[in-house]
Amino acid sequence: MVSFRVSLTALFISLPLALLAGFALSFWRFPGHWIVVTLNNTLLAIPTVVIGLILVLLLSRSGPFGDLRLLFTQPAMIIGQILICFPLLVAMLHAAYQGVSRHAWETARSLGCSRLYTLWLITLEVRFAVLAAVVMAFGRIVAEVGCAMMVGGNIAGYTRTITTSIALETTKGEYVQGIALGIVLLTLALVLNVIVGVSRGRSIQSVTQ
Amino acid sequence: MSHLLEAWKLEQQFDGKRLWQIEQLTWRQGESIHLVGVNGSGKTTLMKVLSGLIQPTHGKLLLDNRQLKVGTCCYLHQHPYMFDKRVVDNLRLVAIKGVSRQAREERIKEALSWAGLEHKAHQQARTLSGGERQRLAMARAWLLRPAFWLLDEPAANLDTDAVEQLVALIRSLQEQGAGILLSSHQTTALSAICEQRWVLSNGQLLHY
Repeated sequence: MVSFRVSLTALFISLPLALLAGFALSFWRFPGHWIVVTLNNTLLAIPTVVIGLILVLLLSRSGPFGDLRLLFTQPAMIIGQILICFPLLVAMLHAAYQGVSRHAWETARSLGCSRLYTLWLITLEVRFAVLAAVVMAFGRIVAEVGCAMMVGGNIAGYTRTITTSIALETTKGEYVQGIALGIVLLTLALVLNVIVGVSRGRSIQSVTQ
Repeated sequence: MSHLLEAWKLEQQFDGKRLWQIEQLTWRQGESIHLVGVNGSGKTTLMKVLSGLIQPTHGKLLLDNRQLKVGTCCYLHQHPYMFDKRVVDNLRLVAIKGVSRQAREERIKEALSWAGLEHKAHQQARTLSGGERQRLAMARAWLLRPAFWLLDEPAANLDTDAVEQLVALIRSLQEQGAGILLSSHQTTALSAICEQRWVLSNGQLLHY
């Protein structure tokens, strides 16, 4: 399943970097901090088709990265989806980490924990917010069509995702097929969210016991 | 071996404004000091600096003639942070180095017993009372056997029984030879257990 393979890969690559970025923005005050936050929040509004356009310019034969021959491949789609979900993850994780007292950092460091282990402990403190951010980011990239169409090229069996299929079927006038594919996408998203919901429920249960 | 914490020309500034300046400071392991100062005098900042959590704006801070590293001197917050875990798991997160898993679990059991929290081991740490939270915070730090303890207003908002239990733990630390620095903005039941007094006033540290 191209849609899920591409989106999950993009998510798994983005998440660790976004965790670090969100954490740094919350716990580290540096000159230009607000500029970084403002720029990141602005990127949330960027249309996916614009990201697709920029990537096409960069990856096309005449572009600076043309030699990599990535255009119309799954890695190009993954890069596009990383660019789409990264700002969203950073914004949500920044907000999540801001909810954690600075005392958590000081306590763990005072107890001899390394910086990386402290980051892990604090991430566990906001695990449900991290989960929500992941679900939201996944929803955004699995449902996007503009970038996938432009950098993937909608090649059957290789870069054709459910959303680009829907777009294709619609242009052919095959509305029923398009709706059926939409239902498939929603059902798969529902299954994924049920899995996340059940694991979250179990986690809450273990906390309250 | 008795450890020694020394500082020279320590200065802390916030937004370019000087909070305090300390010409010289010596704290030997085994000494118990009561740090007094009005609210906003910079007691908490001084304690965090002495624990290595905050870098001073200026000055030198050495533990046994070596650069002080965070985690060597244990700082405990006025309102201890409890991780969203069970009591025993709050103890398990402490980075005890160079001990086997079994020895580590033994030490955790010991710490629970020392703090009188054995019966609360599997309870969520955030459901503990104020006094129990203080004791759990002390038990966490105790696992590392630090030579110096910095207790920031540990008795604030605690009832008499909880203060008595806290005093017992601090006395036990004194018997074990630890250096204690505890702060408060007024004289409390804890003042009596300290033989020295530091007063932070108008940006200066006075020794008594």
